[in-house]
Amino acid sequence: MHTQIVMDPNGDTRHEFDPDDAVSCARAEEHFGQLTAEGFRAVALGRNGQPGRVLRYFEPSVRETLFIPQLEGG
Amino acid sequence: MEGLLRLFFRSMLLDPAHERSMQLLRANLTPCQLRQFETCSYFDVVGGTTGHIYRIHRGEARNIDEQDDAGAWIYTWCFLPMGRLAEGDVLLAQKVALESFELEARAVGVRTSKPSPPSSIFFNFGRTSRP
Repeated sequence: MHTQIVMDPNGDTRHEFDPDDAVSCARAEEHFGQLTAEGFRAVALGRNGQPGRVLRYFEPSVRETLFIPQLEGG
Repeated sequence: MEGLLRLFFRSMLLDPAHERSMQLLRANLTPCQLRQFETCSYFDVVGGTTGHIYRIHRGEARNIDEQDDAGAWIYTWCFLPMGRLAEGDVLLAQKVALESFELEARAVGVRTSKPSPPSSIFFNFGRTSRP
């Protein structure tokens, strides 16, 4: 199972999907689209803390995608 | 005072969101960054575009320092994700942003210069004025 991790006031919320299941992937892609439309930045997390990669489009092969709310200056 | 301490412990130790966010952060630090974080309460990241070194301190505002090519800490940055996120999430968002979309983070961030060290003129004056 692959995971979408969404940062939120509870710490995070996780949504799992099966990359080999078309329905599960379609649901995950829809979720990806909703979050990025809301301004979340999607990043494919690197292994062992290594730098991640920004995702412009849903990639079912990515094991862990982190969704970060839009940044603002403090 | 007792009330403040109780509030501190509740917010820092018993808040599930805080705990969860810190777990997520720790799981996404390199072994070196994790060691730094556990011992010094900060960790260093390398900017994905500029290659500059940033030091992210615990805290949620004005907690990022930037190093120049000579190794001096020259700027303090302030940017964070929108919404009321727990500390671990803020720190992880800052790390990921600097590593993966550094220029966008710099574009929204507020930068302030760090105080300069005492000038060499001052030191030279001090040295030469003594007998």
